[in-house]
Amino acid sequence: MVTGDEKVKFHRVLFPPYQKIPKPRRRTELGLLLLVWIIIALLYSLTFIGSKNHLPPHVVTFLGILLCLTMGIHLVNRWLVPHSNPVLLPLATLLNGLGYVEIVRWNPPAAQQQATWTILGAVLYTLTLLVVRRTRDLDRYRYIILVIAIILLLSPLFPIVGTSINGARLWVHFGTTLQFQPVEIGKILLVIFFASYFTQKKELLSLSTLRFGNRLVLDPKPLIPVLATWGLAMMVLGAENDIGFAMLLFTLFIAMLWVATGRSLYLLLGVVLFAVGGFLAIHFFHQVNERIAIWLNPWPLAQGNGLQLVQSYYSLATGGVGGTGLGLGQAGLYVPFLTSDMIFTAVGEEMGFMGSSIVIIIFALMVGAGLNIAQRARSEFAKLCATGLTIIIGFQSFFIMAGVLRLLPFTGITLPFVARGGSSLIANYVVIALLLRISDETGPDWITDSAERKPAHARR
Amino acid sequence: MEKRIRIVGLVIILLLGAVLVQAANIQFFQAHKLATASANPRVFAARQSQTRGDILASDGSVLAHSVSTPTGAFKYQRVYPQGALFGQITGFDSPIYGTWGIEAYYDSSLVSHPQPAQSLAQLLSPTTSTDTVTLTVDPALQNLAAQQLAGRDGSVVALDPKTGKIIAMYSNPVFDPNPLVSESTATEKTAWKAYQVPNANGFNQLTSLSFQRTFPPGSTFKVVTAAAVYDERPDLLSKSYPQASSISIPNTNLPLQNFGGGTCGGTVDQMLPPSCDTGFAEVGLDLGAQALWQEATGFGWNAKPPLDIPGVAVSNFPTPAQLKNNVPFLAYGAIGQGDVAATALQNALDAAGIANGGRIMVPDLLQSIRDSQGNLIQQYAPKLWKTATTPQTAAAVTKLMQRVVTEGTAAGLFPASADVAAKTGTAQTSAGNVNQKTDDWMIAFAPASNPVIAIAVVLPFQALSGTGAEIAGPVMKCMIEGALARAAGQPVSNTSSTCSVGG
Repeated sequence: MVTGDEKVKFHRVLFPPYQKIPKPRRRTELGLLLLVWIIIALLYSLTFIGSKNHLPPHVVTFLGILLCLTMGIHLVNRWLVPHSNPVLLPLATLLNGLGYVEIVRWNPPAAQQQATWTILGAVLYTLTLLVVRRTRDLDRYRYIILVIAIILLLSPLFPIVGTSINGARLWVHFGTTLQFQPVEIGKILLVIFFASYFTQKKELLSLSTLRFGNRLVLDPKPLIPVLATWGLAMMVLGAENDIGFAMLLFTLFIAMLWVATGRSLYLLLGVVLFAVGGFLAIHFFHQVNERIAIWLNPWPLAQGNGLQLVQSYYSLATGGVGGTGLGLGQAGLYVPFLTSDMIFTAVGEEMGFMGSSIVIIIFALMVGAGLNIAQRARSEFAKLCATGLTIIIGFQSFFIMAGVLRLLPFTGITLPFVARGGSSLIANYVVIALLLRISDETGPDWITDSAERKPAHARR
Repeated sequence: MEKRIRIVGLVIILLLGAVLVQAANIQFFQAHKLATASANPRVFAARQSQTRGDILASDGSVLAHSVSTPTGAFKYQRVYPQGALFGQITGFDSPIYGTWGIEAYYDSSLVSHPQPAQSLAQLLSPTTSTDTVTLTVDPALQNLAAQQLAGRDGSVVALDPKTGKIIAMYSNPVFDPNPLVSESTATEKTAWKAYQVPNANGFNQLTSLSFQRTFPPGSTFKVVTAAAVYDERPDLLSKSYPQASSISIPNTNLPLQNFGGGTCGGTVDQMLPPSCDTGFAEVGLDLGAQALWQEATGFGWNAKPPLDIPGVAVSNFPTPAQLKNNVPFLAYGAIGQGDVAATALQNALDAAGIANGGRIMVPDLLQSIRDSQGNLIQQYAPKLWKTATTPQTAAAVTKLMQRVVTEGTAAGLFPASADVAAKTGTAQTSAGNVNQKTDDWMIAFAPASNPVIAIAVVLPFQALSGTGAEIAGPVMKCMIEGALARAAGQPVSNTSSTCSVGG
C-alpha cells in the first residue's frame, strides 16, 4: 500500500529538487554554449548564402529551436549535474552543428532526420542523467548490462528486424523508416561492463597467482568470461561485416584491461590477438581484403572501389588551406556517402585545413576533458568507466578520420557527433551524459580543489 | 591508474596529431598537385564552365567555337560547324575522351588563361580570356579534296613548299567531332565506339590516313632514289641499264617483274618518266643500302615530321643494318616496296623538298594566334626542317618529274599548257605472296618553274588493275587546278568541268 509520503518520496527520487547553490562551472558552460550558438548560426547562414545566394528559409525558427535546445540541455545540466565539466557539452554541440551544416548542404532530407535525432539525443541525454543518478548504480547491474549488450550486438542478425546496408549487417529496423545501429548503444554497455568487471577482478587479473613450475603465472580463470565477451563481439562483428566497430571494441577492451591492471602483458596479448585477427580477416573476409588493397594504393581503382577515397583526396586538396568557402565546395557531386562516411571530407573541402584541423583539435579537447574527468573520479569503477567512454570518442574519431586520410584502411564507422546517423548521435550524447555524471560526482570546484581533494591525494 | 590514464591520453593525442599531419600533407603539401590533376573532376568542370577560344580556317571561317548554353548541362557547348570535313585536324575537346588534334596541341591558348596585366587594376585583379587560333588550311581546297576522294578511303595532303603551310589535309574515313563533345554521355560513348570500328579496309574513323597511317609509297619513292643517284653516285647517271621485263635479284628465287610485264631500261633519266621497276631496282643495288637510307633520311624519313598536331607517324626506310642481310629488300626498297612505308604527309614533303630546291620546310597548320582583343600573340614563321638535297639535284629531278607529265606515266592527265612536275606510284599490297590490291599514289607540285603547291594523293586498297595515274591522277589534277586557282585569288570553281562539284 502506497502512502502519500511514499508518493512524494518516489516523486523526489525520479525528479530531484533543483538546488539553489552557486554553479560557476555552469556559467562557463552557458557562455561557451552561446558562443557555439553564434558560430553555428554563422556557419548555417553562410552555407546557404554560398550555395544558394540567399539566407536559409525559416532561419529565425531554426536558430530559435537551436537556442531552445542548447539552453534546455544547459538547464538540465544546472538541475542534474551542476558541478560537472563545463566544456564537453559545448564541444559536442559545436561538432553536431558543424556536421548538420554540411548535411543540410548536401542532403536536405537527411538533415531533417538529423535534426529529429538531435532532439531525441537531447531527450535521451536527459533521461540518462535522470536514471543514472549515481555512477555506482551502474556497477550493480553488471551482468544484466552484459546480457543487454550481447542482445544488442546480436540483434542485426535476428530475422525480420535485421537489415544489411552497404554490405554491413549492423542495422535493425522497425517498420520502414526507423533504422537503428544497436552496436552504438552496445559499445557503451560494454564499457560499463568492462569497467565493472575489471575493477572487481582487478587483483585476480593483475596478480600472478598460479604456480607454474617455479614461476608464478596469471590465473587464466577470470580471463575466461572476458575472452568470451571479446570473442563473441568479434564473431558477431565478423558476421555483421563491420570492421570499424570490431577494431573499436577490441581497442577498447585491451586499453581498459591495461588501464585497470597495469600489466603490459595485456598490451602484448592485444597486439598478438590483433595480428591474428587481422590475418584471419584478410583471408576470410573479402571486404577486409578489398579495403586493404584500396588503402595501399587507391589510384588504380579510381574508377572502381577506390573512387570514394580518391575523390575525397581531390576534394580535400581542392579545399587546400583556407577551403573553398562554405556552400562553395563540390564534394557532394563526386564523393559517395559524403554526409555519412566522408563528412570529414565535406568539412575539409569547404573550410580547408583550418576546418579539418579544428575538427581534429575539438576531438583532442574532448579526449582531454574526458580523461581529466577520469583522473578526478572518485572510484576505480568511475575512473575506468570515464576512461572507456573517452576512448570511444577518441578512437572512433581517430579510426574514421585516419581512414578518410588513408593513414588506416577505411572503416565505415561514424565520426562522432558530426556524421549523419541517428543511433550514433544518440549514443554519443549518452556518452557525454555519463561522463558528466561521473564529473559531477567530483563535486564543486571549491571543494574538489581544497579540503576534500587533499585526502584523495594523500591516499595515492 | 592515473598514470596509465595519462598515457592513454597521450597515445590518443599522438594519433590525432598524426591525423593532423596527414591532413596538412593532403591539404597543403600535395594540395596543388591533387587540385589541378586532370583526373580531378573539378578541373574538367571548370573547363566546361568557361568559354574556349575559336579555331578558324585561313579564310576566317569558323572550324570550332564555344556557344553559350544557358539551359544545358555545360555552360558552354563546343561546336564544330564544319563537322567531319575538318574532324581530323580540329580534333575534339570531349568531356569523356579528353582533347585531340589542334584542340589538344593548342589547348593552352584555347582554354581561358590569365592575361598579362596592362594596368594596375588588371595586376590586382587578373583577367582571363581565350585566344583565337587561325589555321593555314583553306576550306575551299579541303572541300575539294573531300569531293574528289568521293567517299573512297584515301588522303590528300597539300602544302606550300616554300613555307611548309598545310593548305589542305583531308582523308577518308573521317569522323564528326560534334557527337564526342555532346552533353549526353551516351551520345559520346556511342560515337566513340562507332568511330573505332574498322571498315572493310581495316581503317577506323579516328585514325587519319594523312599523317597517322603509312603505306608502301611504290614508285613515288623513285624520286628519292633518283635524287640519291645525283647526290651520291653521279657516275651511275651515264650507266645504261638493260632492257628487261623481269630481273633476278640476289638471294631470292622470285624474279622482280615490271608492272604489267612491260619491258624497259636505259639511264636513270630515261627510266624515271616511264617508272621502270627493273631498272630502278638495279639502281638501288648499285647505290647500296647506306646511300639510299641516307638520302631517304635527308628527306625526313625515319623522323617524325614536326607538324603541330598530335599523333604524327614516322615514315620508314629500313636501316643499312636491316638491309645488310636482306638484299632483295634493298632492290624492292629502291622502288618503294618491301619494308618502305610512308604517310601521305611524308610523300607530300618529298615533293615539296624537290619543289623548294631541296629544302624541306617545317610542315605547319598554325597561321596565327590572337588574343581576345585581336592582338597578335604568335605568327607562324617558316622554318627549315631538312635539307634533302642540293638545288642542282632538285632542278634535275624536277625536269624528270615534268617529263612524267609530258611523256611518262601521267601523260595526258594534265592539259599541255600545265606546268606540273609529278610522279605516280602503284604499290602492290600482298597477302600470302598473292598480290591483292594496289595502293595508288601520286605526288606533284606546280607550277614546276615556281612552285606554290606540293600535293600527295593516296588511295589505298584499290583494284589490282588500277594504277596511280588512273586512280590518284584525276584527284591530283583537280587538286592542282584548284590550288593554282586559289593561289591566283580565284574560287575553286574556276577549274575544268571534270573537277566541278560531284565530278
